[in-house]
Amino acid sequence: MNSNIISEVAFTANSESFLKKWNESILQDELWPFPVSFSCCASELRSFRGMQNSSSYVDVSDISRPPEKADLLIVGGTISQKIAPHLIDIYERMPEEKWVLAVGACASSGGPYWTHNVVQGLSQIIPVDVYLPGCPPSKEMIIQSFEAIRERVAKKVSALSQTRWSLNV
Amino acid sequence: MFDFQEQEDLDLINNRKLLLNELELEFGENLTLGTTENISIVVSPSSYLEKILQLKNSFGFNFFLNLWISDNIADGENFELMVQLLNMDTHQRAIITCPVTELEPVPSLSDIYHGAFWCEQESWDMYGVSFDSIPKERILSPEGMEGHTLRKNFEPKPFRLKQSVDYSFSPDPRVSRSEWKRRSVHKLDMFGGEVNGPLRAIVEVYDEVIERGRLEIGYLHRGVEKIFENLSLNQIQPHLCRINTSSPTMFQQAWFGGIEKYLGVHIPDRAKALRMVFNELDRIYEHLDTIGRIVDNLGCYPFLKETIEMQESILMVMKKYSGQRLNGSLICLGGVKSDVPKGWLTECLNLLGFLEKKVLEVTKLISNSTLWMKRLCRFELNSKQAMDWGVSGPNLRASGVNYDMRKVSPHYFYNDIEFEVPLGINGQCYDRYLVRVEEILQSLSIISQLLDNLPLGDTKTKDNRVLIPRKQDVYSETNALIQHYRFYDGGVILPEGEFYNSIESSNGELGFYVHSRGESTLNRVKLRTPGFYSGQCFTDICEGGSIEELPLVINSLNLVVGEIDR
Ligand code: SF4
Repeated sequence: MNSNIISEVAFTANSESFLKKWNESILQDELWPFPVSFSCCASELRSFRGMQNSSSYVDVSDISRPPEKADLLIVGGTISQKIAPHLIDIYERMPEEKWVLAVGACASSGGPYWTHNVVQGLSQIIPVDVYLPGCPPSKEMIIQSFEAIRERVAKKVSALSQTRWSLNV
Repeated sequence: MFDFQEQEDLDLINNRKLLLNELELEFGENLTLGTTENISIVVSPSSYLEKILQLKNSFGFNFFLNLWISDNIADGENFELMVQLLNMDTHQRAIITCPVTELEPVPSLSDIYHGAFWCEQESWDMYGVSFDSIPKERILSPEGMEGHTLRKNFEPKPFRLKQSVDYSFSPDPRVSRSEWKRRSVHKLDMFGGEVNGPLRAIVEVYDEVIERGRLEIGYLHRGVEKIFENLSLNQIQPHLCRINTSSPTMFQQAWFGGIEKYLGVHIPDRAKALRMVFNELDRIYEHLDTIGRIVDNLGCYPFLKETIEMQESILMVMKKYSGQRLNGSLICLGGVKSDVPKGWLTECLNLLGFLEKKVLEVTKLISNSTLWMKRLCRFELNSKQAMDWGVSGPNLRASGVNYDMRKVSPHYFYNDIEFEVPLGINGQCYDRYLVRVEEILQSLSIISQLLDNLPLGDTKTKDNRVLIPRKQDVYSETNALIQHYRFYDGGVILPEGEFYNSIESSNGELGFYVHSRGESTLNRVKLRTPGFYSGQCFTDICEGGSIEELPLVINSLNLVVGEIDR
């Protein structure tokens, strides 16, 4: 997509107006996300939900969608040992072409919790497409990360396909 | 301006003295006094149950606060069991200590105080001390793990998660066996943001109506208490606000307020008032969050947007102060981070006006609507059940119990400020909602009173035991340099001993128990988070509902999983 959107982002102070521009610029197919959010980062994902418009590219307003119909897995929050198998399960239930977004320091690398019970990053259990740093990342950053996901969707590359390719499966 | 004299109720002092005298007669030299409000009693294992019953029935300690194991004795086998009870008339807290070992099971308290159930399970999980009639199941740690986490000699090993956990219920004594066999068991996973954190509800259903239910927790167990044992006091700061993001300053206040009290550090009046402002802003934020979630569960999407807009406006004001939207480190040891930025007070006053208008506008539309009443006037929790489970805060007040720590054991200026404690009647979801709405309005009035009378002066203490010296002083003055090194090398060191400090957070009584051996790290930290007890009363509340309504029930109690699992 047009790269000037990103340069516009940098100069947009107000996220609301940015979102408007963003929504206007979106014409193509829509991604269906499956948000899984646990702790502090969930609050940011929630405030992101609050400023969604119905026409937005990634619509996270409907959280009752089954994973079988989703193509983007959004994981935000600390991943404990107990929840890790559920995440793998959700990931495997999703259809073949899928993308994964790790929101926040915890989901990317374990964050401040270096303990026995915290999985040190989502990539330990499933392949991740985009890492989003921040503790918690702001909602503007969440919007930007969708741009990165979009680029990958347009080129049809995902972390999963890359893993397959490197393993020659 | 405020009247800074501490006014105390004479009757209350007399009652406290009377109770203390009676306790002294009964327990003799086993009784030690921290302050008149905090009593500690040592009992022997053989008389443990008897003494607790006596404290409940004859001395009025009818509210269960907490139960935990502490390894104050450093040999790895002998532990101390600690039970904390509250007398709701004299507002005294008693810690009952009993020596235990991992070999002998301890009598369970869960029949006397229902709220002890999860605590006792946690004791087994964390320390391996077992209790009679309590199943030896992991509650926070994953099933299949080896060892007990909070022991000092714990070493993590790789393990396989046990997947086939049995979720069946035991036979229901209220119905016949054949009837019970017709019920089916369902699991409801709430991992996608329906409630504030990942939770699983397990319910027994007959004809689409829930007969019994319980929650499974531990999906967000991060081992905060273990982390606290390995960090110095200043390093703990960032972890405090991440336990419950909606009210970060509450945890900071309970933690730093306790340390300051223990060390005898006095903080300036301006810092006190500012801390109260932050706490009340957090209370508003958290209550708005709760209302927003209820609205979300009922599918009124436009109102969700309104509440999130209000929350955003609070975050914007917080961001102006601390530079961070969520998780801001506003309160620090010895005061607040910095003085208010220019123009912040005006902005805050504008915010109050905006919030008041908006809250009244929104709640006027929804509070009396038929749909709202029909869906929310259910799921009752009466006052006896609430007290049995140890539920505190707005959930307790919604059941009609008038207990607010800001009124009964006020800290800082809560004595001098006028506000009311809203009470519910039936303890239904609707009461819990209304109490929260009313508390928002009260908090707004508290903040405006505080801002109108904001004391002048410093925002940090001058006490050099806790003060970080300014950078330019470090370069020029020897004392400051020494202080700087002492501070960043070992941190603040607490003298040997223990203390408990609690405040009224947005969900109820939030307390920290700290035991120090006089080293730079702490020996044991135990959090008393309100959600841990409100989560247990789900068992009583969910009866008669349907599975789709479960998120609504949980949100009306405002269960924050980060707070429950720690
Ligand atoms: S990255 Fe930070 S804000 Fe996000 S879940 Fe982890 S600790 Fe919380």
